[in-house]
Amino acid sequence: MNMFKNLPISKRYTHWIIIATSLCVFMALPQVALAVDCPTGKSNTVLAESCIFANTVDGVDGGDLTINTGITLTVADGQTLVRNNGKQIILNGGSIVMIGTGQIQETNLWCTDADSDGYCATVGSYSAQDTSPAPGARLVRDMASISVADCSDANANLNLSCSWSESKYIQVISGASLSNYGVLVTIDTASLISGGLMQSSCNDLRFYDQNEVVSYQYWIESGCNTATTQVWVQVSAIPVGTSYILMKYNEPAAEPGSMAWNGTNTIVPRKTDCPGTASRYSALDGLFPRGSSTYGGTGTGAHTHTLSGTTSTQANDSAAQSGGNYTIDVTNGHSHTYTTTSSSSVYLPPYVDTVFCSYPSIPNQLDTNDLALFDTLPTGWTRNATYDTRFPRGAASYGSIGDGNHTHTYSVNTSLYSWVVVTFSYVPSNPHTWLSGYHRHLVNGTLASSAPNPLFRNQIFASPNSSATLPEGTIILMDSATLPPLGWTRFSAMDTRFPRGLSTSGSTGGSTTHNHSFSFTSGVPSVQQSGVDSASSNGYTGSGHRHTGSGTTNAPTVLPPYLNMIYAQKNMPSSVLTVNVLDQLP
Amino acid sequence: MFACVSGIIGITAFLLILNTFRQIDTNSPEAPVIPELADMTKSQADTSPTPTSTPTPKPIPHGKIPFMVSNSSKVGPCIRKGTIDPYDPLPDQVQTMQIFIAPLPETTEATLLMQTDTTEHEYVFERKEIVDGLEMWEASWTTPDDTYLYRYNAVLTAKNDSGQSSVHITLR
Repeated sequence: MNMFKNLPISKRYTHWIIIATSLCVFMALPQVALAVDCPTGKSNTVLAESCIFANTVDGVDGGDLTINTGITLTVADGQTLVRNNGKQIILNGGSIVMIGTGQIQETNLWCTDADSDGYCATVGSYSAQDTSPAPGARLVRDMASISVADCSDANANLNLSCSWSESKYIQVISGASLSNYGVLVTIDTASLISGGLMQSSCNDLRFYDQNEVVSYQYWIESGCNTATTQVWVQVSAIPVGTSYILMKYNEPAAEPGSMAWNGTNTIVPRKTDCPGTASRYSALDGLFPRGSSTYGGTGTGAHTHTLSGTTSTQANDSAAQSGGNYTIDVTNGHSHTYTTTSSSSVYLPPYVDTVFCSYPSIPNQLDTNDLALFDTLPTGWTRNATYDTRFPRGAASYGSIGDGNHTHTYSVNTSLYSWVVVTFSYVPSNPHTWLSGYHRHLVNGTLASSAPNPLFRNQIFASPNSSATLPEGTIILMDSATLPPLGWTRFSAMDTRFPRGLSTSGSTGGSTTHNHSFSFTSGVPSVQQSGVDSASSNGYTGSGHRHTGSGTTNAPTVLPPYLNMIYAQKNMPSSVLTVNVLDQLP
Repeated sequence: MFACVSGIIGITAFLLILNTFRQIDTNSPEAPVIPELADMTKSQADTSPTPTSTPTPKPIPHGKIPFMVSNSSKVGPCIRKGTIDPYDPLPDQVQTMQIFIAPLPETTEATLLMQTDTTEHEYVFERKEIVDGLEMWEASWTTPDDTYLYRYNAVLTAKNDSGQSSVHITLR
């Protein structure tokens, strides 16, 4: 214990705790003896100690089973012990104990060995039948070994070790030197998996340089166990000319090697109900997907406008008005002012109702009812002209279109105006006065319809002619700014904009503001007070004149109802790059 | 075990308090380091044994379960069959085993060695009665405080004038 003498007390005691803990754990966890499993036999078998067969169906196929003195074979409850016709269980002083429903059956013992290489697909999974229980079943006695499972029961050349035994070469022909470049490789993993050469999860896929010195990061974009598995391989350096990427696989115990990408859903527009692998993305119902660097900002599209101005000048009446001792000057024209806010309306640009479908990852293939956005129409895809000059709007069903027009109503009382009295007789013996009257007009109407475009970027909307993988250059939506680790780039050209269909893509337009024009003819005077001769009580109550007015509303900043989405584009292929998958080096 | 755990808790609590008072000491630049830990390289640290997974216990039947015995020994009593009740006892539950032995030559003694995961206990059978021409022997005991997930054996031993016979039943 001298080694601890210079330590602080706490650290010295820490050692004692570790030692004490170790002793206690040692004392508290005595060795647990496991039951002894009898060895499954494929020839004459002599039990060396008392035991029990490990599997529900088990025994000896192809030989006698001998139990010597002092040895007991136990057949467990529910267990079937097999011996062959003509072969024996020899009790040479030993014992057999059969518990409960345990039984001994005279028949054959089979295991699955589909590739007939002498190794069972699974250790300990046997059938007891006189004849072959299934295609691929073979007699245990014919196995080369029954203690080791076949690492690949679809390939007779592989049994004891499948460790990365398979490989292919990705030929890369480049016209330029590229560094840290993501190469898209399409691999038929379905045939490899069905051939027993790859895990069904594609976990045992790996990529290296040709000499297997440099390990490349990769990401399986989609389609493991399909003929069109999309894999992005990040190659550190691609020289001019021809080079090769080594692809290795076939290791049943391999852990996942692909880069991870979780938590982001891929949103694909569609013309019918979502397929079974997707769910309808109802968060976009009634909303237009707007490009953004962050997901989730929304707007309702509801807005109002302000109208204001001065009416036309109008005389009071069509003829002079007089009564008793007053006269109203009909030639004395006047006008009113007005200002008001229109009713609220929702701003809907020209749209096509579109179903949006959410996938937990990038779908491997799109079908003829799916839609994607492109800058250039890919081969094998057909442009959807329904979207020409229209915007996709989320909906439960596809196809309804809107012309984009909207309007507002308004209603306002003009300012007041007092009539002017030009003559008024004054009688000294009976003095009286003229009480001035005043009026205004009610103006109401509807603003002129307007169909403005919000900020947009023209895109080609297209569907594949038949089910197809997503071509490079495909633009789709995502609900998170966490993009795939390789092969995809945020499509920032759509930021603050909405995609609008057109036969050619790339041009932009639209505005964040709009206004409406209006014109009206007012109502007849709405008299607030009559002009009155105080002596005679005679008065002038006004008449039927009207005013007109016109103008343009203000132009507030307004967006359609929207949800901010992430637009992402599958990286475009380099024009100088050709990629081929080869079984071996040429 | 309980004593060990209590001891560890007590020592740990004591050292936590002690360490609070000696915090300055342990944090000072002069504070000595533990040589064997400081010198440990990554490769040394990585040499710790890899844990192995515990096998899944095999299923066993419930309740009273019979068993049949076949043997060819000409020495000692011939045990023909028996029952174990229950096959899957709870802790502190009474478990009973009956065995039936060929009557001639007369069995003089029968014992049972029950082996479970970490313990072994021996019980003595009592001769009870003759049933269907066989001697019925019975032993009952209270299940010991142990599990029988991986080792669960019953070793039956019987003696008569011709010698001793033994049957090793692997119950799990």
